[in-house]
Amino acid sequence: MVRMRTRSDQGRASAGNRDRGLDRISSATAWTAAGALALTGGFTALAAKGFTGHAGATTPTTRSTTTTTPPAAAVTTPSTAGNDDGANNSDTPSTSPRTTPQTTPQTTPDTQAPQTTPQTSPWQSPDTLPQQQWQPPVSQSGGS
Amino acid sequence: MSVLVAATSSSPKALWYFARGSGIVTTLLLSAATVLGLLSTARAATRSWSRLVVQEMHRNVSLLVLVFLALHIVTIELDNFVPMHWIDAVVPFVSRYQPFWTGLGAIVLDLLLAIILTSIGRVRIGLRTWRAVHWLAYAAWPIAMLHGLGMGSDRHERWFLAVNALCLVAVVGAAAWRWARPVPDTPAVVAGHVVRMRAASPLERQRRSA
Repeated sequence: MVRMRTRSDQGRASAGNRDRGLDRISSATAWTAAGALALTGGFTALAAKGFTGHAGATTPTTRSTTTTTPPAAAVTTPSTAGNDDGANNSDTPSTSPRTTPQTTPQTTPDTQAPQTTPQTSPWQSPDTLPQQQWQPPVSQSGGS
Repeated sequence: MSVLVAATSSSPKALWYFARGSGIVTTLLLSAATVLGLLSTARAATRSWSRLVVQEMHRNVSLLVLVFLALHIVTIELDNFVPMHWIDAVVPFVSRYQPFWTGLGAIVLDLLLAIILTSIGRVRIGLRTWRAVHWLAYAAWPIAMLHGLGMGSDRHERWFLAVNALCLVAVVGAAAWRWARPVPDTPAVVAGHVVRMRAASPLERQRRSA
């Protein structure tokens, strides 16, 4: 009799421990997820402050889908020249005729490199070329 | 996802920044998962953090690693700053953009997917196979660190190096503690069955037969 009571007490205690453990797991997981999201925001802000290194016209495909089709040869394209440094990149694209194709820069491929050049990234696909036909600058430079 | 869309509409560079931030957090989470795994194998427990809590947190944090790794890859692909394709994230060393460092990231994704999938099907594949695959987790962590230090855009920033140093100290410290600590001979619950790690002692056998 005494033995049975001890066993049931142990079972209740272990069940209580398990419930507390499960509560702790769920709360710790929630806090971890929330902390990771907050850290992502913080590191994103740090990354934005540090190395901006990105083209103003980062998503030409999305922008080209939102633009209305022009009546004539002039195509609405985002202006990339001089818009490298960050916050001044306006979302409103400037209209310019797409008559002169942009030449791809012949620099070595590095993400840090295009910081000073007005053409933002050597890896940025030119507006004149579709995404599938674009080749990296190294292969374009000949290599012979 | 709506946050991503809103951030992208507010600034065209938001995806690029978010990709970098999520990559660093993925490194942090992977380090935490590795530390928790080491603690779990050493059967570490305190009064408030039982072994069950340590093991389950190891599993949950590992799943969080996959979530943030997916965010990292998706935002890089959507951003178009680097010419990467979806296949580059899975198949190592085929990327045109920094193929070696990108390939290391692809290896990490493959290893993590293998670990997660074998953990899900652990009952079917058996404990030995699962454990052999799970050892790959120890390889995934340094490869992920190399990937970040090799091609991360913030690799020259102090805070980035500090975060990586923190991860390094945590994992190396946990590994040293794990190998210095003898694992106690206790039963382990594997796939729903209680498995004795060693053969029962003669005294225990006598007690059972009595």
